[in-house]
Amino acid sequence: MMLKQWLPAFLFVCLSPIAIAQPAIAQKSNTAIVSTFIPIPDSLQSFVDAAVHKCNNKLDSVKANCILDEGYTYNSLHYMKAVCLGEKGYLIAQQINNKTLMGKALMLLGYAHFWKSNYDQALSYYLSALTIYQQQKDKKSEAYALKDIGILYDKNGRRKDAKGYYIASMNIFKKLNDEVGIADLDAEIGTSYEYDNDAKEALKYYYQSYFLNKKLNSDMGSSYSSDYIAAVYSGWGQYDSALYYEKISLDLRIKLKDEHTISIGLNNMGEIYFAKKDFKIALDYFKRSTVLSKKSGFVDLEQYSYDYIAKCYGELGDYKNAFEFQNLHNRIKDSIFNTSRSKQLIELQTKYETEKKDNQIKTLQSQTEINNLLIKEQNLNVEKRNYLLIALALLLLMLITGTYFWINKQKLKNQLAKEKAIKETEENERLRIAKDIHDDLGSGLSKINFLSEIIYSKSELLPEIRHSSESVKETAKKMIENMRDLIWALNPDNTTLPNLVARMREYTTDYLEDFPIELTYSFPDTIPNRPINKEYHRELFMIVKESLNNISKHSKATKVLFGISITNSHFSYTIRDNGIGFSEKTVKKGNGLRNMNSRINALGGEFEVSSQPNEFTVINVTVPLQKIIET
Amino acid sequence: MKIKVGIVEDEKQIRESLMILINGSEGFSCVNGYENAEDAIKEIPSLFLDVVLMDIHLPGKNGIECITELKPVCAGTQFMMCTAFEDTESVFNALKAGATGYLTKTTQPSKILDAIVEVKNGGSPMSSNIARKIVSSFQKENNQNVELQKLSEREQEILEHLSKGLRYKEIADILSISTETVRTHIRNIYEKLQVNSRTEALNKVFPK
Repeated sequence: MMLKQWLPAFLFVCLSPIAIAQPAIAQKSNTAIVSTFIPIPDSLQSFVDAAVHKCNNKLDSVKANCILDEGYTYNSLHYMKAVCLGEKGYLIAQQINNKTLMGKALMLLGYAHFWKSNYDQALSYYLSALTIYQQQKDKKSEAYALKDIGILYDKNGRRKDAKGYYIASMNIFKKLNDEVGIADLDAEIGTSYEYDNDAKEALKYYYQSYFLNKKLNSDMGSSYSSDYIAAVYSGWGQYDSALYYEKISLDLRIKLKDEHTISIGLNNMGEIYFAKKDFKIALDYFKRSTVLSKKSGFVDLEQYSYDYIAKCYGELGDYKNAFEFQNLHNRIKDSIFNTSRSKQLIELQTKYETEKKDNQIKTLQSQTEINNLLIKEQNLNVEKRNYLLIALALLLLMLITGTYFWINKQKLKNQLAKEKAIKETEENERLRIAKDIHDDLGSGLSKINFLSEIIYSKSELLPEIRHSSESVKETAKKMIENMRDLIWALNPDNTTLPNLVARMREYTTDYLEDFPIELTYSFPDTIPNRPINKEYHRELFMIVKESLNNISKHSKATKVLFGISITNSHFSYTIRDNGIGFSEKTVKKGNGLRNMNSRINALGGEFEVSSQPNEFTVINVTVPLQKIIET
Repeated sequence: MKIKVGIVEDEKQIRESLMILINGSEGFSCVNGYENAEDAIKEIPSLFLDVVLMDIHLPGKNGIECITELKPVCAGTQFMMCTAFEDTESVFNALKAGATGYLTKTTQPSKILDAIVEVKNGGSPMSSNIARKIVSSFQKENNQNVELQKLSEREQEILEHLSKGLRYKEIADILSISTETVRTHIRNIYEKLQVNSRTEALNKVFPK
């Protein structure tokens, strides 16, 4: 599967400092927030001092801002460092009552907890920041905070809540016309749909994000959204599309010279080729990815790609190499496990030190100072070991359940993706054929039309050619017209009630222009702007064409009235001419009219023709509005 | 004075028969025909043509790109698109690039000549689909707070009628103006559309 889980993380890290444009804070919540602050552990005291020293400035606001910026560089990488700097920055900002910076600090604390999976705490920081932004009417920051809360809910599987926040955020971005924000948010909403296994909807949002980013010339944004798009196509087995978009993404990343993301891109290319069973090319990409991830210290990705390299070798029958890379993968994976375990140890150590301090104060007050201290220390040692054991057990449990759910989810996802892929392919195929018709058949037909026109004009003295060349010309023209209508109707933007009416009117005027026929319209002033069913669209329009054809060819009419009426329940139109008409018999013999009748009936409408020889012909079509409107 | 016409069309037979048609008609002279945009871009600026018929699908650069390059260096020349269908999207892009007319390849020869005369005399055709696209394009651009030319009330009125499928003559009757005046308005709308699309492009390169 694609490395989806890492990508939002990087996007998030990269964009979050931008998010904090002009935050501020409410006085009320100050004490509540400060009381949850964690004291700086001894082990990090020197780190914090160094940062404060580095940021030293006469102006406290500059100093606080600098400390917070430093903090943002750690927000996903080192929880405690980010928290310490966030708190430090907050306290300075609070002293000088700089609301902008207080907000910035709160968001940083939120991010740090988010990355630590302390979702409750992260949420409370985000919400405090949000309240402040709302009070300060800082719309932009409010929108970003709403978005981040949405991401947090998403992460916790609460899609409905997440969507609510996304929508609120989107509304603000749209009001502000903040396209950077919209593009960013579209990508998040897409991800949310993808988590929900609705890849089609996800793709829609990814595309929106992609095109917006492209419009904004945001290479970074475009690189992410095109990567997401590639992931969706890959999931559907549409590897060519996947490769196309992944390549766009990779090229942009290379342009941006960001080794981290380039290595992800290379890996993803590899995965697509792997899925496509092009193992040799896949192998090449994975190897290039590992060279980079190794160089930039992106160990997690490095081991991940090694696993694939091993698989590639396995597929290619090179079991020696497969074995070696599998070993490499396992070794690094173990070392990551060790790293995270030692991180855990440092944190436990911190907790331990804090407690030790408290205990020292207590024991100093008592007279059995030394004894108690010894006992306490012993207890603490036992506690320390217990912590360790519990932590290890929990970690193991999480790994097992995590893997179990992940595998299950993938299975389900693949199944759904397959079903969707079939649907998608059908739709794509239809559009592709339409486009081919448009480009190839269309220009070929217009050539036939054009050349037959010339033959026709040269054939005045050759009666045997004249007739057939005319019919070639007419046929070509008719085919082009029909094709044009068909393609026109494939575009959903075109199939609305006002457009149908406009097109009927336009066609009628143009068609009758060449005949000595006076045309009168009776159309309603306003037409409800509703999308209509493609099939109806086609049939209703065809009848107009057929009727005009009959009028111009057979009726000898001098006047035509075309009326449309739309009531709450029905759409209907009437075409009346003052021509020679026909008797019932001729109609029964059947021409286009009978076909029209049955087609409209099949769709649930009514079709009527009445005629008085040498007086008039009236065609009346009525269809229920409810049926033609597309919901 | 004969109307001087140029043709850019990659289908040899269509190009040649168009040339024969134009040269054989009184009052017209087809100066040259080009099978690709690149040759046309090289030569057309020095020919001072009245009207250029431009195919959209060409090998290499397409007709829209060709107009984009030629329009600024051919002040007195009108560009007319020739398409297989009235492909709204392409026609609209061509109009933004500087075309002032379009015709479909199914048009009868006599009407092609009429269209050339019309475009030369300042008239420009517009269908309901194109009218709708223009209305929404002006709405969208005005939203972006970029200083763009706006449509006058009369122009908006005309676009609205066009988008309902009315033809020039009907609109002229409703508004009690001459068909010529309707044509002038339409030409002005096209010009604003072109100016706006250039301004938009400039703003993208040099943001304020």
